[in-house]
Amino acid sequence: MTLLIREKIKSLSSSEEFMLFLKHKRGLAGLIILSFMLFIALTADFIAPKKFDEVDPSSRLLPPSTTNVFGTDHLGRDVFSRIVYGARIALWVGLLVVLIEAGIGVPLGLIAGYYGGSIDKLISAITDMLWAFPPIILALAIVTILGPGLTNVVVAVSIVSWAPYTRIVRAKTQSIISREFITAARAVGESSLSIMFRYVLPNTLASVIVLATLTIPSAILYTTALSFLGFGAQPPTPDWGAMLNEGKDYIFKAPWCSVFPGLFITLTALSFNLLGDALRDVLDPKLRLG
Amino acid sequence: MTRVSEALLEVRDLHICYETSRGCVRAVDGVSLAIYEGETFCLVGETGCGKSTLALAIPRLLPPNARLLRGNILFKGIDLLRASESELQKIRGREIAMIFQNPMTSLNPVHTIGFQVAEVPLIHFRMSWKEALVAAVKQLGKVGIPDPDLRSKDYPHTFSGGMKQRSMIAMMTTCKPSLLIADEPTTALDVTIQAQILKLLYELKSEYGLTLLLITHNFGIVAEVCDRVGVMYAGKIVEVADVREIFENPQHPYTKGLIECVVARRKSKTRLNQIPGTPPSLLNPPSGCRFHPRCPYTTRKCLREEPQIIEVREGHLVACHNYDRIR
Amino acid sequence: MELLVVEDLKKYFEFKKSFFAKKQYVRAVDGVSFSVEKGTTLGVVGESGSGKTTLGLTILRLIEPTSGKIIFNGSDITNLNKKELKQFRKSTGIVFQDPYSSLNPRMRVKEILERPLKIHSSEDEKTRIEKIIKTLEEVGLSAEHLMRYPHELSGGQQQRVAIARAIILRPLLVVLDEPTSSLDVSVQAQILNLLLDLQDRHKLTYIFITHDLLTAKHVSDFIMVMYLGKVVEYSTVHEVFGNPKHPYTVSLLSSIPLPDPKLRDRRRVEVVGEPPSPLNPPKGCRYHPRCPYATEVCRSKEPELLELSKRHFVACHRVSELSFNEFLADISSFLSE
Repeated sequence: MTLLIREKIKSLSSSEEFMLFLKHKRGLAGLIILSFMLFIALTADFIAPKKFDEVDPSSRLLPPSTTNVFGTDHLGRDVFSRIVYGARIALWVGLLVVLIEAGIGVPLGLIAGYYGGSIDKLISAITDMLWAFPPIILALAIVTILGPGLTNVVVAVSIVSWAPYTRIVRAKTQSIISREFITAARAVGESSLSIMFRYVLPNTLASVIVLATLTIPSAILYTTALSFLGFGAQPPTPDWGAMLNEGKDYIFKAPWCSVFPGLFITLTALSFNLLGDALRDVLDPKLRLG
Repeated sequence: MTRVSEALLEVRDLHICYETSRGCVRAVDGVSLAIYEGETFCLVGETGCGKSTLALAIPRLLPPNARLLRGNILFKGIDLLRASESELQKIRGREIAMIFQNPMTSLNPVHTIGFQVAEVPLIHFRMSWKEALVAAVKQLGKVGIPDPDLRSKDYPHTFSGGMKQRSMIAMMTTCKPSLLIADEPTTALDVTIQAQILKLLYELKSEYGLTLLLITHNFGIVAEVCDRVGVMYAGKIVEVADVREIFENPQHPYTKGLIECVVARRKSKTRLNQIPGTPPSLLNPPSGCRFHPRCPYTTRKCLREEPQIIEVREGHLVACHNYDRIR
Repeated sequence: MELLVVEDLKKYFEFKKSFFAKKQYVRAVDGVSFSVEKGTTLGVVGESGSGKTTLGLTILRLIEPTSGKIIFNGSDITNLNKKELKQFRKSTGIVFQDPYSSLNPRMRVKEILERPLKIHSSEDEKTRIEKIIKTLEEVGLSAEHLMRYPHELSGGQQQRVAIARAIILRPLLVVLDEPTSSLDVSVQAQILNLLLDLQDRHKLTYIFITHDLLTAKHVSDFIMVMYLGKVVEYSTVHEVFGNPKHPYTVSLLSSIPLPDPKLRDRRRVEVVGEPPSPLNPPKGCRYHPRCPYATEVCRSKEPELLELSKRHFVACHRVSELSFNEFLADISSFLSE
């Protein structure tokens, strides 16, 4: 197992793609910011001076100082600690959204692209119909039925947003199945299922990864918007959108309550975008030299 | 046969490399060549030998990551590599024309054939658009397009591969250039169409007094159309000679090996001669003679010293330390 | 013993220019019948539009035939269920023209060669790897290539992997579709030698599809010349090259650039015009618009493929009247065995 990992790292570092990626300044910036977010999310327990729900009425709305680097909010909670724990939520939300959207969208795209005909028409019709559905309305509906909560909102948003995955995988599948290695696979006796998952899917991964890194920011923004509206994360969850919501009443008295969550939302979304740009530039062979 | 005429095109010690993420790939590494007026010169070699790079360097159509390290290309007294872009634009299409391997991608799909052929004389001569179109239709007829007046109004996708290549030839010969460079012009075509195109090139050459530089890897084509042959390997010229000399008396082991590989020259179902190994990396070529790892006549000198080009016989040049031992 | 018998095989592709246009058919393979003896090589020769590639894929059931019969190793394989088809796949292999696109860019050599074994047999990993390494060595590669990806190999090496994949299950029949056309001259020779060695060692039967008559001549025992979906001439290699009887065969021979400058001024049978569209084949003999010998009957009636002499079949109305001796005399040195 370790041999395989070592091989992968060796092949990665010697590959032309990796070299090109390192030269992409914006991509590197994105990677650095994202690594930082990941770092604070993972080490939250160690770097947060206080618990995110530790209320201290005597220290309400204090400006940034040496004890509270980002100040305190209206309940005296340390904003920095809440930000740091909030990173976990933001990243987890991003991951969950991608897993659901790709989990639904990719297999559907594979099947539609591989079989074509009426199956394709059916899947494409369903995909387009659901894509036309505004996620926020659906989120409201789900929240009304199931009650508010971050998970519910995440599921609501992802369950109608898998269309880009289906579309891209379908298009790629159609172009891949006309290539000779697919005919060769059939000649060797591979079943359709095996061809879809062993031959077609790995060759669509590059596009899926790029799409994922570009979808995550909008997922984060959607869910933080819903949290802002009060439908997503419930107090005391340190979701950055919820923090924005809670801080909006104090925007003039204590701007740090909103500024810092807003800044971190922007930076995280931006980092995914930059990373996605770089990945797309590197993995898109048409832009490569030589 | 002594060379009385002056060279129409002279390449002197040309060094070109491509910048890649792994370093500079030495595609053309010290090539000197002379092409004389009125002849058909074939440049032969396998993939990666540098023949296409050399061909593209002449009209300066190399991609942006190509670096000219050293050398001159003299054409009618002008050094093409140091001429200004405006000077070159006057030469391209008018004096030096080029046709490429894949006619599918050489023609612009959004313009009619007539438009594309007419553009060339329009740029180079003081003609009206109407006059240029007339010249275009005439040339299309000359290259064998049936109903040229009608078909000049068609778009490239309605033309077959052979007809597209004929249209390219029409485009490139309307101005009666002095030098026509053809980079594998028939590789993508069926064998019967290939024969037609080669015949067309030969006829145009006789009629216009063209000089033809033909790049190919097919020895059959070399034997059919060429006067003189230059063999390239790993960025260098290894042998230059008359076409008959090359086939009857190859002096370089690579040339000899290549000719013996060619399928036609063996009895059915017997083993073909093969050259062991594969062409070398141009990032890190072998020391001394580049062919030595695959050569059956290698000696110690071949590992240390790069062979210089020697004239073994009149008009027959070889770059090999052991040419006199080749049987 | 006849390993493969094909009877009146047809493959038509549907083609519709627009939603309201009438349905048209591309008659890619239009009534082809032949047989191949075990251990021999049938060279299928033709230009683009001849249907040779479609024929190869249809024989292997990679394309479904429109009509006709295919009998392989004594059994009718035209209509098979899933299980029988899988068994058929085990006894056949295919090698394509472009080695890089015939290999999955995301699979290492080891996995590419493992797949056929995993699908058709049930050995343990160790035995499998041994088999794979043995096959790699047979095609001129080694264990060091196991973990490589296709893009890390040269064109010749990639084609060797493709060949290894085709033979690893010890098939009876291998279809090769222009296996050397994309390779450099020096590599072509290596691969052709390899194919001949493997055929000898494993008693393989080859269907060798190519447009290059000289390569076909070198590896084949029998030659079948195709034009626009039909067979125009079929015979032994010796007969087709020494005594061709169809004008198209002769024009093909005329058109090959021969690597001997002395033959430059030889007499040739010229080919006029372009290959017609397979959507609208000419009436009568399909070759008549380009044939210098066409007469009234050629324009109206399709010639049948008839046995001229022992094992020499030709589809031409004027076969008994035409002689190409003067043209052949010029290139006899090249064509004789």
